[in-house]
Amino acid sequence: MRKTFKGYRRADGRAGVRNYIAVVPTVLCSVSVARSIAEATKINAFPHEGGCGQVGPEREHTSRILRGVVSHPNVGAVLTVGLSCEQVDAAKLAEAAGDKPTRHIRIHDAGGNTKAVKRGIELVNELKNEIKGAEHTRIGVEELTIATQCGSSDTGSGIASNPAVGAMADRLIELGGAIILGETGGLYGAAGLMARRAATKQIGDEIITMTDKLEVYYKRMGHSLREGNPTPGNIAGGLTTLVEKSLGGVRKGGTNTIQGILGPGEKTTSRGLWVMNTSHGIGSCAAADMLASGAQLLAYTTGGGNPIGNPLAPVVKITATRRTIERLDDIIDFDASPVLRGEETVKECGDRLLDEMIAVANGKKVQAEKTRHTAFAIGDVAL
Amino acid sequence: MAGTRRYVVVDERDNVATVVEPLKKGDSVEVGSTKIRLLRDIPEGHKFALSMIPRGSYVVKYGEWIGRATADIAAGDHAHVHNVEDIVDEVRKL
Repeated sequence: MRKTFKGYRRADGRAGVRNYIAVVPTVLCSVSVARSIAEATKINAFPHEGGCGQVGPEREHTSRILRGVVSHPNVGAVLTVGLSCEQVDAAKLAEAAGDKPTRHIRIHDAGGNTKAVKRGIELVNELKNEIKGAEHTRIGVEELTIATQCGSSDTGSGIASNPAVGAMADRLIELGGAIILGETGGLYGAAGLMARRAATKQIGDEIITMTDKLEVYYKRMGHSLREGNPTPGNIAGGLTTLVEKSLGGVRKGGTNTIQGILGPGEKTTSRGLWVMNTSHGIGSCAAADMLASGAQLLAYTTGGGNPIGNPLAPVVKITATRRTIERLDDIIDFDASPVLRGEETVKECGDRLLDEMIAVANGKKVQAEKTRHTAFAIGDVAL
Repeated sequence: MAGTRRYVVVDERDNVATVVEPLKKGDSVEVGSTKIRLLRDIPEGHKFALSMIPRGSYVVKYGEWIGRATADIAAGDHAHVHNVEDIVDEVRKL
């Protein structure tokens, strides 16, 4: 039987799993106003530190991610909040949203912070009314693109929850969907293996090259990616080598052929497994890169219990560690611990996880949505 | 697969198992049809050898090489940073 979910069909043809209103500051100077508007109206803001004083690739990177946010299929309406003198223009950014309701304001035009917040709240309320009647459409799971990530990893991540995400990934791809595997640093020790799984030799070479560049970048600063990697915490937890750590991480992508390498925020051009050369910085930067490309969901494995949600997509938190589930019940969405106990095979767990991802696509709220926990950051451009 | 178990072998080609609860020196674990007696305490998340891994040969987990033994590692012995070295440069070239 064909697996489907009730989603939102956008004017550009893409399918969304949510009908979020996004309040997007164009520049650090307008982040505070955007936050106040979002708080008052209980919607999601996208704070970042770019948008001005940037040159070349950095400027292009910020612009690509912000355009990816406003045009994202999970976003039903957009308010951009500018200052007026910055590089990223509020009206132009709103135009990038395409054929969906948008508004823009500029703090200088509005007459200051307080007036901008007041006006912003009015505009969000207008947008809420405009998208109120948005109709659900039955959409096949083959239209899902799921991004993958891990954080606060432990033993269970490498041997149970990451393989379970991988099994989910394989199943989704079998049904016609797409998966994005990012976190370039995490690929380092598994680059050879990943290169062998690439669709062409050229794509394989690119995987080696992009991880080489990362090591060259660290070397320029007199450091190495291998320094203290695995970390003392990793070693205490039983991870022996960087290769072992990387292999555990890349299990999230499953076992399919790699279709190609994407830049941060770049869209996939076919279904199947894609690797994204994500930007530097904390995990939220890699999440922004993958989601801005149009992925509608994020599958996030965490041993210790990472709390981070995302304003652009539901983040499904997966752990195989019972303690974490019991202690952090408003953080964890999915229990992969039966794999560790031998009560479920990795494949069975992956099938159950795909059903959960579809339920979330269908509207089931994840813990991060229930607790309104979101984080957003734009990283330094990928090498 | 059924019941509670104390270790995970991720891939059938692996020569190490990862324990999911702390195991004690002298504990006996059944791996397939053979019994392995643990030669040391194995902390949660750590690995023990499923068969003798001679010095210089590869330690295999996920069905892939994860490191090289720097000493003979007997079946049931703790395989970790004290007797396994990283092979990151080697595997990155493959």
